Amino acid sequence: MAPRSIPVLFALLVLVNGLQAGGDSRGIDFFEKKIRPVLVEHCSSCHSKDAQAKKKLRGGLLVDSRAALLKGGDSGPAVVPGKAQESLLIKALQYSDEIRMPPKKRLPDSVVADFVTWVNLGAPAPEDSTAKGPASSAGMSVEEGRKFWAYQLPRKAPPPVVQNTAWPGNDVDRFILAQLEARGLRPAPDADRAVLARRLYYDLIGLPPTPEEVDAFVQDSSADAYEKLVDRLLASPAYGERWGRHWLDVARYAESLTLRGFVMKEAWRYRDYVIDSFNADVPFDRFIQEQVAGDLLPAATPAQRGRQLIATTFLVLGNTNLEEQDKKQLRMDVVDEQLETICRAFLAQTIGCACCHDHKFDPIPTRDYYALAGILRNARTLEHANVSRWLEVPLPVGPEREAVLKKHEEAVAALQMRIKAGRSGSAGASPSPAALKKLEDELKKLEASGPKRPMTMTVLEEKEIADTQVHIRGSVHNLGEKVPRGFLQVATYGSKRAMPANESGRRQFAAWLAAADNPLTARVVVNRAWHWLCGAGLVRTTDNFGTTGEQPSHPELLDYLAVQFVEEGWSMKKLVRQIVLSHTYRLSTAASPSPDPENRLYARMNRRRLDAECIRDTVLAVSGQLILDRGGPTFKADLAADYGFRYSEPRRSVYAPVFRNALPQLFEVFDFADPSVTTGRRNVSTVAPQALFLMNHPFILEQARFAAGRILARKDLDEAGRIDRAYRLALGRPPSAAEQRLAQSFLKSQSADSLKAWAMFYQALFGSLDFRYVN
Amino acid sequence: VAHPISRREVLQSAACGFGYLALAGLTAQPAAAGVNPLAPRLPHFKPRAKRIIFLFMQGGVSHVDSYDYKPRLFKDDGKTIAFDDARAIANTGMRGSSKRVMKPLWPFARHGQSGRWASTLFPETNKHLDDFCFIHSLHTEGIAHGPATLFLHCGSTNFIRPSMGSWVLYGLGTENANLPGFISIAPSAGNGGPRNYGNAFLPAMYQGTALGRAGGPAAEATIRNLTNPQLSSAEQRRQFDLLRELNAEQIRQSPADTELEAVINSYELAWRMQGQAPNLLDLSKESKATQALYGIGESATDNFGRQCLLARRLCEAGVRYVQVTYGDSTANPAWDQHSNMPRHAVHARAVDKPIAGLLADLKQRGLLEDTLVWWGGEFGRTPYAENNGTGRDHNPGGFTVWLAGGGVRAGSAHGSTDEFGHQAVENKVHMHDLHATILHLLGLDHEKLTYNWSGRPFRLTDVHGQVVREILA
Repeated sequence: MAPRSIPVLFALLVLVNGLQAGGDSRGIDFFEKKIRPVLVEHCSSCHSKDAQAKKKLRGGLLVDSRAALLKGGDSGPAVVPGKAQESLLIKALQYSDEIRMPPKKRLPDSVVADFVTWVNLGAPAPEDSTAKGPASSAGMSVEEGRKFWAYQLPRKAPPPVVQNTAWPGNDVDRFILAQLEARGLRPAPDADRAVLARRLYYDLIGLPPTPEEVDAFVQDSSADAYEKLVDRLLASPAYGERWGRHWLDVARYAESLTLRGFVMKEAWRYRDYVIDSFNADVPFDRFIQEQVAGDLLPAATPAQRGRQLIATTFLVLGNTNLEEQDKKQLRMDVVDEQLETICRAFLAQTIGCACCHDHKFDPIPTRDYYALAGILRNARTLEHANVSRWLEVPLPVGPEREAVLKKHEEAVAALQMRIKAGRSGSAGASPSPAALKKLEDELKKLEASGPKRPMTMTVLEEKEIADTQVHIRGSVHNLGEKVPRGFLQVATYGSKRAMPANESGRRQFAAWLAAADNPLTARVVVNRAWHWLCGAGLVRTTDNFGTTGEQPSHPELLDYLAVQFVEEGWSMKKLVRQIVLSHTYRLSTAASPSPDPENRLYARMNRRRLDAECIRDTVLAVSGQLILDRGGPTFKADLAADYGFRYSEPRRSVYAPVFRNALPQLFEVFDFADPSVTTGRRNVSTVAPQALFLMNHPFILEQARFAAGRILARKDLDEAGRIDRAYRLALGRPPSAAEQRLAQSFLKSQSADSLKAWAMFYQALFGSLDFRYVN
Repeated sequence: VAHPISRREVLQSAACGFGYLALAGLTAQPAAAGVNPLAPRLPHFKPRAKRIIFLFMQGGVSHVDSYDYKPRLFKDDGKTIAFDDARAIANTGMRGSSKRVMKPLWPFARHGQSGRWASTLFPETNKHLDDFCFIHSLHTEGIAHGPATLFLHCGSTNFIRPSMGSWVLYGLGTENANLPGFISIAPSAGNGGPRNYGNAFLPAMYQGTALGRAGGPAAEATIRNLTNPQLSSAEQRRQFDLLRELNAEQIRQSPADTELEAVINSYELAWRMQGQAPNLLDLSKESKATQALYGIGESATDNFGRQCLLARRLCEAGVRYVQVTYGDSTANPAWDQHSNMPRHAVHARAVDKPIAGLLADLKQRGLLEDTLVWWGGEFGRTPYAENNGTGRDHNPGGFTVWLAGGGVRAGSAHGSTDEFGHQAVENKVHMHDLHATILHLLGLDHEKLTYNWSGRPFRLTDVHGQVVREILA
């Protein structure tokens, strides 16, 4: 028991003695004798003003006045005078419901009986005229929130005037240069052309340029050589693999659940959908809507309908505990996860706080949370059972394919009928057991060999469409007022969108997310792109545009890009093109002493570390093993659990199955995004396990050997020529004279086995600094 | 004091991985206090334990068959009585399910000076009962293994949260710069798998390092990529020298670049780990007598004995948080006897002597004084038969764990379940409270150990948890 608090006792005494009696004296006596001592001893440490002052108040309930008890806490009134069995306080004391008080031990029956008597007497107690309800716990109001930059509509201001008019390449640069000039800073010199080529290849397609590609660019003296390279890379299917992977981080994409390692066999379709969408430059507003409500959007063709269904896999990828036995809880857990993901991914809002109470820092009241939750609660994501299961539905197919499938299904059905009839003997003479067995075998064979309907993960509309109630303190067993479905008030401009009575509201939600007058979405998208290209966003907290996030370094530039992005039809390729064509993007990374050590002003380019996928893909490219096959499932359909899975195909890393219990070691040590939460910005850690991986892991050793064999096959080159080529393949540059000497002397010292010597040398290159970093 | 760490700090110091101190030595520059997030930190107050070994009995040991003595179960054995079954309530809201009371399969007796009750399930461990501090009134969240296991490790049944070891490492840093500060020996791949030793949103340097896998041979319990399968040590030495020289050439272009220096330092540390860690993990360095103490060499106890001995060696070397899992990666892990209670004996046999050996060994080395040993599962088991059979179902409403060593009242028992051992009723201790108490023993205030993420501060105990002061020595 918590130590009793003298001040509380004192306060209660004062309160009781100093106020007028609010009931007859017998009732008051009863209260004084039987009730008050218990409240003081067992309740006040968590439910009094004193507790509130110490920040120990629980459940918002105060017991130090009658008025406070009648008003109650987060769960509603504690006492209904005259009605003991309707009083939460009594239920809690009786331990008959969810709330059980005092939490450590039920009070003796006689004490509980006293409380019942007291409440049935009308809860007589001295009135407390001074009692005021608990101070409002609300954070920022919606009106106040409208003053915060992120909730105001972006405005496209003309690019600022700069002194050095020769430097800017496009409008982006004018915003950057203006700030540099204002602080008396100058942009760094331009990056060397070979460095720029390597940077651009990794940023746009995630693969290293070949030595020939670098040479071609360096030697191309035409004025638009750089633009041509940018456009060629943007048109490459590898662009979608690189940029699609960025989005998969945001979408917390995975192909299994941690729980029992359940494998989601159809998730790959979503991965391919994302890659294809980036390659086709599907307008981003469309891309957003398809993921949130693709199943509800009109479609002109079966292919389009299929594509849109696949897009909604987005809603189903959460790392859910299907085993949760309280299915009410599980249903809400899924909604919470979907909301958290949608709001972080598209709006950079951390909405989870508002699940239990008004957001303490951002203008998001709990009502807004449940207005959104109501929409998603109308989407069925799981089929409930002891271990619940996600939903898969058949994908629509063209008429020809449909005919084939139908024919097959009819054949199966007919055979099943014959077997059934044969077993029950209803079709006249029963066939012999041997004949029956033959039929069964035939059925098995037919099912195994026949065409299969392609399936996809998706959600279905609930049969009953409804609004939901506030879940008090986030509890599914403690519901408050009903909230009409709707959106975040602070980010809603323009006319109110009505919620349909016969549809979940997801379509309206999706349209609101992707609306031109949503102040957050376009800003969040362009900021993500900037982060992916420059290593740090204009708002560095890419997933948090709330008041606890960072402010934009260049608010006018962010707005300019956001408005233009919308004006130009939400084209990601145009946006990427504009950023990489800027002079700012083409600067050297060389750091010099600067008053801006964190490079918030982009006076130079940020040096960046290759991410896990680029490290692996580059090693495979250098070893000559990389296979550029695109799309499709990448593990066997009969895989039941992901435990111990190892991916050994030399395909691009984006196609390595993302198994939550079996991430490739290379991904793990090199900060691959946690596939359970939205990640707009990956960690960049430098730890010894990375070094151990590069020193000892069989994958690196094996690929170094392949690379060695490949270079030794170049009989046209002498040793110096091979060293030169190895450097250019692995690091995108030729060796310096000193490096050439180092390499030669090492290879000479190991000359007994040249394959081994070269493998050791390549491995050292893979481990070197210039391999791991992009300048 | 909370330890907010800026991204910049992380970038600068992550640099150092788990070897910052040694690196500082190498570069002949003393580490600036507060710069390295893994440097040992001052706790919030004087700790009672410096390190912790958690012996995780995966699947749920039956408390009513081991340490929670309930005469009523013997008396009412076979009677059908209405119980508020947790699974039935969660599934249907139904209270008062009719269940057949099943008496313990192992007889109980009092032990030691303290006279605490225990059954014959763990005869060797019973010799140490006077060191135990029992909590008989633990209760938790999650009726199935997945949620309950996550709740045990991360304080949450479903949301992605850092594991307890990560929180502790974040709060206290590490004492051995050449080793990970949080090691999970033989963790289960199932029921949350890596999330149970994951750092979630805490910086990656706080993640647990897994050695081996649940149910796997102890020989597999090693740090990954510690040895080169192809090169002789002489060859690797030459190659390492080459790498050093290549990097020295490359860093010449960016003098005094701390991030690049950090990469170079991470290689130096890896190289030293490669040299030193195998010795630490090599149990043959231990005397025959010590090995025998843990039951190494006896077929039933060899594997878990090795894991317990490894835990002691790691603790001795300065690892802050060591977890040893007795379990496996299936959906019904080890102790999960739904239909066959007698199988508890097989598991008890496997862990009993190793645990007794670990306690004796810690004691004789003086380590038990500032090492906290925690034994328990994700929940207990029901006092009644499941489906009228011969097993018991999960029981999150009341079960027993014991603590021993640093800072807890030896020979004591706290709280109790009802007369059947079903629900915790007296001095109830929620899993959040146990977490808060363990952090307290390590010198950390669970309300102050916070990390800002996604726009708000998070902690292991969410908005709950009270330190159970009654069990403190």
